[in-house]
Amino acid sequence: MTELTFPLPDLGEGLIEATVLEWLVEPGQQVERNQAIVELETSKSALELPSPQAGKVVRIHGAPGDTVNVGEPLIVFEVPDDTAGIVGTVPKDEAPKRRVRLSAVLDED
Amino acid sequence: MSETTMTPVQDAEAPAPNVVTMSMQQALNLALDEVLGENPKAVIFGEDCGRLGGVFRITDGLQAKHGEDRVFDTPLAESGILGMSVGLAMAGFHPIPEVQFDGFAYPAINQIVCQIGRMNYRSRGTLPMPITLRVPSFGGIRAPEHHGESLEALFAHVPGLKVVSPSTPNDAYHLLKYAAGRPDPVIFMEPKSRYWQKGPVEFAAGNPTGARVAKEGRHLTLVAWGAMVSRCLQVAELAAEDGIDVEVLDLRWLKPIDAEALARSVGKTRRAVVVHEAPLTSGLGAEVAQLITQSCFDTLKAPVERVTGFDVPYPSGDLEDEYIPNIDRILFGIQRVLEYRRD
Repeated sequence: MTELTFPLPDLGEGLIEATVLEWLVEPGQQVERNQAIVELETSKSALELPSPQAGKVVRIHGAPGDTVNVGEPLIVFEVPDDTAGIVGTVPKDEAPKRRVRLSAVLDED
Repeated sequence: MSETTMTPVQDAEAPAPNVVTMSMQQALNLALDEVLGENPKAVIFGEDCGRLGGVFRITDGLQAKHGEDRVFDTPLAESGILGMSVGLAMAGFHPIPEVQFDGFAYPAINQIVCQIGRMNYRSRGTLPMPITLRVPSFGGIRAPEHHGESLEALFAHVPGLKVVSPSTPNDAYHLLKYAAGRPDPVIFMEPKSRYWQKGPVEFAAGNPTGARVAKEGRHLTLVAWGAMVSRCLQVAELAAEDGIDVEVLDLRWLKPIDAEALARSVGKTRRAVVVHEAPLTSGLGAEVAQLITQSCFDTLKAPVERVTGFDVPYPSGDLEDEYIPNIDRILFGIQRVLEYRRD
């Protein structure tokens, strides 16, 4: 397993920090990509931050009311070694589904 | 099939078993490990290839094992990665650069087309370019834009380049080792959606040249490469439920194309559908259709069908399922060929 640290991203408009309002996940929890992980407040707005990836939460940084600077660690995930750092999602092998059926008279000449 | 698992980088002392089940990631990693061990002139580099071991873990552990002068990180500058490859090749090295994602081969096109493809020709054979450019290719992982492309026709059109794409861990291992040993530049297109699937790698029995019959059949040939091979194998199983016996030909080498294998297969089945992710117009499907027509015109039961991506930019992950040929679109293509009747 590999630990991946996700720093507080630039939330736009040149803001350099954000205040944690409420964590929506906790250490030990498995999260999916795009799942809301934390509510943050900046001087412009309050927003929910989506998870950049799937993984198990190892640590979260900043209690409600704390200020986190852009670029500082916000959350640490644990991911399998073979998916660490990947852009995108490991595809699942699914049973093939079909709607089209073939019909043909095959002349075996 | 053996359930043996292995660590990606082998212990040099351990005896190598003859058949090992591993993922394509591990097969590629093992091939690179062996190339570095066997060829002191081989060097591997690219964005995150060194310390991190690559975003797809293909070069995992290689820097620690072979040293920072053999496996190293580059700046985020693809034309620099390929330009450096040209210089290293001129100096006698065998570079194995990585472009992290297919979409980022575009910034390096000038070096690939204007230098790598022609240096051997330009120098009358005195400056060969033994470069193996690894390009994680095609879609299927729901990545953002520029992280999924199907560039085989672009590369195949450039004189001086060879193009190959494996579809199984076994082919990945053997084709990469073979490519890295060539005196010519090879564009090595790794189907990134197949990186994690496991399969047997037979170390003793590698046939790295030409096409491969992935499944034999007698009614129709599906021609595919890269990630589309596994989908075509699924389609072949479904077609069998309807009494249609489909052969799947994994082209593997996209330049040069194994025209004899196409002639053999379609000469037998008399019907062909070619499947690729790239857009239809001027895609490699047209080249395949022409090669088939050239050799099998007299016996073909129907014009060669193409089931491909659409003539739009390769979309980002959310739209992938609408773009990449799916099972039903391939079945429709087969049905069109089966239904065709001469007037």
